[in-house]
Amino acid sequence: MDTLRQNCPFEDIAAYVDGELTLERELEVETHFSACAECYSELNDQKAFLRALDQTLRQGDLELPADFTKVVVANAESSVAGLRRSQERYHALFICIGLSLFVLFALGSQAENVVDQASAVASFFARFIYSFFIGVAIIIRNVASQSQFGASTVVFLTVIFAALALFVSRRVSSMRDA
Amino acid sequence: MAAKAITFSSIRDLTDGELIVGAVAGRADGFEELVRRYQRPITSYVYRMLGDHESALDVTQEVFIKVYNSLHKYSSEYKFSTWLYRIAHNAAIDHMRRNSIVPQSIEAENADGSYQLQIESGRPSPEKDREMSEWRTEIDSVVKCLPPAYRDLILLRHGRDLSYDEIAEVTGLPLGTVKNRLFRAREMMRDMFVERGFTGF
Repeated sequence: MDTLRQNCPFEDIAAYVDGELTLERELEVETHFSACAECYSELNDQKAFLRALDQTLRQGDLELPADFTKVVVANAESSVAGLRRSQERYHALFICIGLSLFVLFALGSQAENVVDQASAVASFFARFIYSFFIGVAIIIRNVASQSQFGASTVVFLTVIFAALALFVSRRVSSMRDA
Repeated sequence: MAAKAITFSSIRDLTDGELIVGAVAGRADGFEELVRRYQRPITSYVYRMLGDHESALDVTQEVFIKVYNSLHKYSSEYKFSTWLYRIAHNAAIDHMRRNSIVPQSIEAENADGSYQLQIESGRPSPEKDREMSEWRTEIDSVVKCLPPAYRDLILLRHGRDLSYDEIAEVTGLPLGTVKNRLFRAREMMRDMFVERGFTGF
């Protein structure tokens, strides 16, 4: 009797009730049921037990707060990473540049024709870039005179620092996306 | 107005896959419909895993935020619900770890792959005839006594009707382990019922 019990496919009985056996194994188990009264009774017990589990655990979904969906959606949408892909950021940048160009054109609207407008915008940009580099040069010269390094060393260190900052921020954002 | 009504009723007819495509393309109502469809099953699953209403709501919210942030990475080779349950499963396990809810039972097994029974003490003596509602309470309480790794499988199988394959995908366990643990979990539950004086299973 004990040897027979050892051959009984107890673990497969539940899987059989779950409909998770391969067809071949299912047939084997069914053949076994017709020969083994003990397993047949175990099968019926398992069926009753699993049915009770199904009935109980599929019921009783929790009551959710009335505005739960709205709150979840609002919180998800406000989480910054969101659905925004890097491509979208480029789109946003593109739109910003377009808008600022438009504003600049609007500023130069006193000019009589488009060529004058364009040249006004271009000269504004040129002055902007010129002033920017002048500013940077002044800052570098001041920093260099305060420290024991030469101006070129300061420029070199600044470039290294900027590259590092860019690298770290990219690493952080790629880790967050992962 | 009529067109709007048609749009409103048709979003409920869309498949999960279509809703995801819409949401990724920036349609806000696509994601909202997904939340509406799955919020109850996910909250119930998480609630039964954690046993605490407030935490279940917090974790469910966390799950959907995570879903929103990774929707563009969703691959349609998985069923959406399987993918969603995997996120919920991980979030529930993380929550347990953070709050040290019986952390030793999340993964630790005895050498033979079994778990120690955790029987609630001080149970009242069993009665012969119980109402079905009492039955349900009893089953709920037995499920709560299971080690989380077993409870998880029982909830996914019986509460959410997932197949063994889907459970394996959700939990990251091999299929054989899923089958074996489900068997052990059910045996453990039946033992607990016998301890409590229930027979017939």
